[in-house]
Amino acid sequence: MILILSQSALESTTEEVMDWLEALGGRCVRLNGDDIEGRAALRFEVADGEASLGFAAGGFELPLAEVGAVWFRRWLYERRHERVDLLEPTAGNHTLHHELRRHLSLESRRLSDFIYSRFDHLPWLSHPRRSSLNKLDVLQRAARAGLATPATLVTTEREALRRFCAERGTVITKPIGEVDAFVEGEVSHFLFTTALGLAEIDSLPERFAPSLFQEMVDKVYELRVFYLAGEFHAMAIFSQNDEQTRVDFRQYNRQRPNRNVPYRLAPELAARLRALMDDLGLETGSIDLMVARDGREVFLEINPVGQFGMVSRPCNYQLERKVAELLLRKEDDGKRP
Amino acid sequence: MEKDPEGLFARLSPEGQELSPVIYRHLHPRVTRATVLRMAESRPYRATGYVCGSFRKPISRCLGPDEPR
Repeated sequence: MILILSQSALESTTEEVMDWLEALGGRCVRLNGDDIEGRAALRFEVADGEASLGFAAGGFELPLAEVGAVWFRRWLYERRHERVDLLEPTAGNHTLHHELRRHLSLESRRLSDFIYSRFDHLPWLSHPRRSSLNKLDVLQRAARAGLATPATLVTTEREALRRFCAERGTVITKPIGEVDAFVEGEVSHFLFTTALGLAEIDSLPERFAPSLFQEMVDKVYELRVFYLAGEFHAMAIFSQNDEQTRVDFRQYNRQRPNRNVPYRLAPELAARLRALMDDLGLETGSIDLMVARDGREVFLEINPVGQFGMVSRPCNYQLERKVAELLLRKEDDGKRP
Repeated sequence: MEKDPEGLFARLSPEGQELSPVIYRHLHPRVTRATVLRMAESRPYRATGYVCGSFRKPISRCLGPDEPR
């Protein structure tokens, strides 16, 4: 049986793979990160030298003893305490509220880490320890692997940014860490990659919080590559013909979507990407690149738990099936002495 | 460059603005509902979660409404 660690929201990929596992004759059990926050009954006991971990919902106990391999898809989209007021409105103590939330987050993380560790002896596809990469570290490693990377600056100084922009032309800014959205009722405020020219830079204060800037690559098209167990499944995204998607294709134009086509990586590029994935200890991940007008294939970043349906469907790669087959092979491997 | 017409950055305190990276000045507002409803494209049992592949029982619910069965 395959244990799938996932999240209940915004995660259709998990269901597609589960369908394939079922169709291929496998069995799976799914545990969402949000289930351990009160949606399912959780029990961990240590007694008489024996330890046991269990989850149950609706009177059904998850058969954890039968698990032969683990797929870490995702875990917690958000923790419950991050969305609720923990203090009565009249309390109005922001510092106390922050401390309560911080402590609950630590408690939740400790519990998650323990749950992962209970399956350390099994084969995994993706692992939480490698699910969140440091963008800056990955860029360094990519450059070492011989990949073209965009000129990058992290700074707090307007003048340094101004000089960078004068040398490189228009620059883009994006988060150092994760892309996120701040939900405010009916409106979500998204952190999309944004282009900045000298005029915008001049309007900044002399000093600002640490921010990431990169040269804006004059791209012809973008590449989204799904890597799985040594194989690349690539798709070209023609995002340049649409003003809405030109800087960040995730600003989807749903009325007139970008054209997406299957793409074969050059062997040299594939070898360098494979070296990078090996260096990062990743068996799977979604890799973003751009093909520049000057022919450079510029590496941008890797998401170890990125969505792959957006590559699988337009290119007919059946990636969900490939993931399911790999999980079943891992389960078989785990049974061997 | 798209500005943030909802003005989230403008609503931050002076200290909040000082602590925010430059990208916070260029947040892109979208209607939240559009994001949440994408989940309802899943089949109903998907939207309510699984316990296991052969024994389906909702143990968690997604944020959006389920599709009608």
